[in-house]
Parts: sequence; structure tokens; C-alpha cells
Amino acid sequence: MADPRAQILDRIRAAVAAEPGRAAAVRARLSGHEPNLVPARAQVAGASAREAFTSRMGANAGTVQQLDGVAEIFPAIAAYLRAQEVTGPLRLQPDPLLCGLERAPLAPWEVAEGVPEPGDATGVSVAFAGIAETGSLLVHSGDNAPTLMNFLPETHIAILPARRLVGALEDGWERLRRARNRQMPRTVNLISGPSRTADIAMTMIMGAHGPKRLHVLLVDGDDWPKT
Amino acid sequence: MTEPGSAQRMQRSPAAFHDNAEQALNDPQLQQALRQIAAGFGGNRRRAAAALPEFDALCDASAAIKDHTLDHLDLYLEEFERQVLAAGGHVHWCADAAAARRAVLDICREVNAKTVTKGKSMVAEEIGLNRFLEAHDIAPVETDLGEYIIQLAEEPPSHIIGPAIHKTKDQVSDLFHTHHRAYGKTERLEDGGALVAEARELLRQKYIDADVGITGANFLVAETGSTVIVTNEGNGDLTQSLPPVHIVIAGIEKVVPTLEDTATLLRVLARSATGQEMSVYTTFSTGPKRKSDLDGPEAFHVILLDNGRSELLHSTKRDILRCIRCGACMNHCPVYTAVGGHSYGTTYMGPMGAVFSPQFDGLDTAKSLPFASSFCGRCEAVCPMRIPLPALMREWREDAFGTQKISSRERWAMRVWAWVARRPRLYRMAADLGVRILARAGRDRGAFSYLPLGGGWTRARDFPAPEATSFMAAWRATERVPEKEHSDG
Ligand code: SF4
Repeated sequence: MADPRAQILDRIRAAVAAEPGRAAAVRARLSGHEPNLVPARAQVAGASAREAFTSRMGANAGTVQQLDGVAEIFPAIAAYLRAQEVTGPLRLQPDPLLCGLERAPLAPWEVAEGVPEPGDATGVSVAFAGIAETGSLLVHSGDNAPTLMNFLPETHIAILPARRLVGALEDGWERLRRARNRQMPRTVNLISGPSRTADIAMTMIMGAHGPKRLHVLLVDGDDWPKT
Repeated sequence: MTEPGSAQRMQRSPAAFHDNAEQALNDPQLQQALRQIAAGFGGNRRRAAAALPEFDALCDASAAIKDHTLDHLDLYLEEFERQVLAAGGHVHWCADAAAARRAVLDICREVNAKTVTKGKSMVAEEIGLNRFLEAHDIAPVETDLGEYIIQLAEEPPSHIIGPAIHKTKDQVSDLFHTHHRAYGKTERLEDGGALVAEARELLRQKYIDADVGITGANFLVAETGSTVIVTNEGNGDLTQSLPPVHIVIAGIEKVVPTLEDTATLLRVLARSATGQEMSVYTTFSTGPKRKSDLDGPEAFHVILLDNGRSELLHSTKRDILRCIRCGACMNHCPVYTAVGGHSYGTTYMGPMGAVFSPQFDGLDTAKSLPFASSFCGRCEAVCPMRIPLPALMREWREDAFGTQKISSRERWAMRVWAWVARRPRLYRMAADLGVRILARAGRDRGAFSYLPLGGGWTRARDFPAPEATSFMAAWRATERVPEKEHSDG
């Protein structure tokens, strides 16, 4: 039997125009990272990016809370979980800065670090970037960032350092390439609100398989590096 | 218990389109479910498109990205493969459905898989993966709620993005009540939230127990070797993060050059599909978990499926390969929204299905689908990838004429209909006003019975009264068309 790879590629080559310079055109496209049309609403920065992110994440059924600094993170989490009546175990992303914060405000909850387990009620993670255009978080896997933190616990609290807000998704890609030296992480997630389904009679229900609620803490200050 | 509905009785063959359509038109529960599609998806898409001033320009840009990619498809696929391998993954090139099924089975066998969880994948439907795995003692578990529902019901998807869109809530209640007993859930739930919660709870354990997770792909990114899924539930992410092996099944036409190109396509995909600005989860997967990663699969495989796509690339139907499976064409199709997806008897339904299916299922069996059109052009108008769907259906009809796959009586009807369709004023009357009369006239002559214009069709549509005189005058004119005048029909 013919090698299916060669067979498929041959069939494709027979169907496309064999213009000279094809390979060069492809190489240029792949290395150019040229943005196509970027909508005007995505070309924002500073206060308008913050405003756009907050309102669009709200439209995505997530909530956003502004904090002045990292010291406010655990108190804010405690207040949020109390208000939502979440009592189960809480899992922290093993981010050194996050895990080094004063834990006292979280005393009422069982707190652990690392990869979330099925019994965890709340997951806390730190986002790589926030996309103002669509109110989305950009997160990725890594040696201190388990992907499951964004999916397994019913309540997801995401920390977004305010300096990591960008306008367009294209800006997020550029930052990711820079930070990772062009090595794509195993998993990159764009998260635009909590999980939902409309698969039963086209009625929207929150919390299908992923988190039922997504709360973003937009934190000012320069504790986390800019991405 | 509610009635089982027409889905059980329909034949899973496009050759039975007309019979299936009649059944669908006479199924009140299905009609109830279908009425929500146009109102729900249709309205949402319109609002989302209107809210973005650049939407039309983004559609043009998206179509241009795909055209460029298709012109260089061999090179982008090779680059995609190079990047997947560099990231430690595997690529399996499969010429047809049988080869793809075999490739999946081989990977499953290597790890002695007993169960696999699945994210939503139309390509998995296209290759008939579930039945094949079951026959080889591997239990596939669908995790997308819609796919899960139809797996319990033992039915195929009736819509590419809402596979269980034909089911009413009552029918879902019955299905869960029947099937969840095995897990000690004996109460018949009626609240939508409670039904979702029960499925969520039962499926959690399935992800944890599964040996392999299978997903489809909305895009393959050549630049990075990433596969991309777009979902709202998060089931695909659990499917590809918890089991130790992740298999991605994708058609070769899904490749795009760069992350920037993906960003452009994402801007039109969700808006066209559900009217969201972004779906909730857009996930890029590149190779298996890295050494220092804390979670993720140990192995990553991509199945690249041709199955007729390279032939389409070589044909007059090439433009259909730009399709990003948003479903807008079916949501806005008067035929689809009247008869539902099961009537087509194929994996892909609606206008895009009418173009894909003759390739995938053979023109012989699927020849009636390119005729399942009212020529209204709405599918083309809403297609974000600018695919000229009516023209591509016409190409297939040409092929069917050319190879004599339809009878002379059918051909006569086609020509009359095509002639009507080419004349805007007459067509508008036929499509919007005069279908009832046209259908009756056709049926009396026994000719239009081939078209989806039977009694049930007109019953299901709410047409205003036709202006009989002008219409009949025009109709008489159609009878004078000599057969050879046919050109593009
Ligand atoms: S043909 Fe166009 S409208 Fe239909 S599913 Fe494909 S991209 Fe969407």
C-alpha cells in the first residue's frame, strides 16, 4: 500500500497551482506573524483597556474586582467565598508569590497548593494576560501552573495583574512568544467567563463541566512581572 | 413517557431524504424544537454581527486566510507536522475513514484502553468512530452534553454545533431517568439545572477513569503545531487533560498559518455560530505535557484525515473547504429549519452538508441533498467564509445530471425549478409566496414529489396567501421552457 502521507500530499499538489515562490510565501507568512484586521475596539490600552475588560468579562457572566495590591488578594478571596457560601477545600496554584502571601484570611478553608483534585471547591490561579477586546483571560500550563486549575474546581478565582492587560488577542500572542522564547506551552487557554451549556432545549445553564463561577481579581502594582 | 419522536424512525440514508422530511414535518415535538433555532441562533448572530463594525471586513479577511492556506495546503500541512513532531507529538496521515478508525484503535490498543472520553468532534462522526470502538470492546463516552444526550438516545447529531437540538427538555428528562438508574439516580428530574448537574456529576468520574481522551479541532496552527478546540462547557478540556493520552482528529482543511490568522477566524466563528463574541473556552494544545508540567497527557496524537477533501480541492466545489463549521447556514436555511438535521441522513446537514455529503457519502446516495434547497440564498448571505453555497449545490446537480444519476422525470422538475430560481421576481413568489401552489402543481404532475415541497412542507410553513393571478401567469410561462434552455440549473 502506498504511503498515505505521500499519497495525500501528492493529491493536494496536483490540485494547487505550482507557482514558483510558493515556499517562500509560506515561510514569510509563518515568520512574519502579521496581524490581519484588528478591530478598533481592540486597540485600547490603560484605563480604557481596564474598562473594556471589566465590562466584557461581565457580559461573559464573569465578575471582576479591582484591588490596589497583592496584600488585598486573600482578604478579597475570603469575602467572595463567604458571599457565595463556598466552604469546600481551596487549591492555590503553586505560584511562589501567591503562595508566599499571608494566609491568615483563608483560615476558615482547607488550603493546599498544587494540582487540583476532584474534591476541591475553589481553584486560584494567576493569569498570563487579560484580553480587553473580548473580556478573556489568557492562561497557560507550565511548571507551576496546572491547566486543571481552570477547569476542575466549581469556583475559579483568577488573579490578573493589571499590567498584564492587553487590547487585542494579537497583543497576547506577541507577549506569549516573547515570554516563552517562541516555545508554545503544552496548553494555552483563552477563558471568556464561566462554563455553560445550552444543549437542553436551547436554555442557558451555567456550570456544565467547568467552573460555575469565575471571579477575576484585577490587581494593581508591580509584584508580578509584566508579561 | 413522552413520544419517542421521529428521530427513531428516520432512515440514516440521504436517499431517504424525502420520506424523512415528511416524517419530520409531521413530528410536533421536533417542530417545536426546530422553531427555536431560527429565533435563538439567528437573532443572536444578527446582534453579534451588528455590534462589531468590522464584522463584514473580518469575514472577507477570514475567507482570504483560508484561500491562501488552501493554495499552499501541502506546505502548511508539512509545517504543521514538523511542529507537532518538534513538540513531541505524533501525526497520522489517513487517506480515508477506515484508516483513521484503525489509527485511533491502534493507539488505544497500545495503552490497553478500556474507555475513552470524547469531546465533540464531527470528524469522529464522519468516520463512525463510536460504533467501531464499541465493536472492539472500547467504550466511548461522549462528554459534550448534547453529544451525551444523543449517545444515550442512540441517535446521530442533528446539528453540527447543537447535536441534540432536536430534543425537548421532556425527552432529555426521560433519557436521563432511564439511563441514570444504573448509577442509583432514580428520580425523574425536570429542571434544566438539575439535569445538567446530574450529567456533570456522572461524567466527572468518566474523565478520571478514561485511558484516552479524544477531541476534534476547530483549527490546526501550522506555525506552532497547535490544535485548537472551541467550546462552552469545558468538557473538551477535561477530556484532554485528565486521561494519559490525547488524540485529536481533524480534517486536513483545518490548518491555518499563524496564531494571528487564528485570532481573525475566532472573531467570526463564535459570532456566526451562537452569537457570542467568544466561546467560553478556546484551547490550544501543542504536544504532550512537558517534563516539568504538573498535569496534561503523556502522549499526543493528531489524526489528519483526507477522506475526499483533496478531491474537493481539485474540484469546482473547492470553496467549501473554507468552511469553519459555524452552523450559520443551517440556522438560516428554510429547508433545514423545517425538516431538521436527521432528515438529511448524513453526518453533515443543511447547506454545508448538501455540499460535503455527495463527496463523503457518494453522489449516488446523496444526490437528492443538493436539491434540498429553496434557492433563497440566505445561507450564502450569512456564511462568514463567503462560501457560495447555492452555486456549489448547483455544481453537484450538474454532476448528477452529467452522470445520469437522476431520472428524466426528476430532471424535468429540476429544470423547471432551476428556471424559476434564476428569475428573481418569479423566484421570490415561488419561494416566499407560491410554494403551496407550486408544490400542488408539481405534485399533480407527479414531478415535484422529488423536491422537499410535499404537503407537510407547506403545512409547516406559514406562507401568506399567494397572489394567484400573477403567479399562475408566470407558472404557465415556465411550462413553455424547452428542455435545452437549461444552462446553470
Ligand atoms: S458553510 Fe459557512 S455558514 Fe455553513 S457551517 Fe460552513 S462556514 Fe458556517
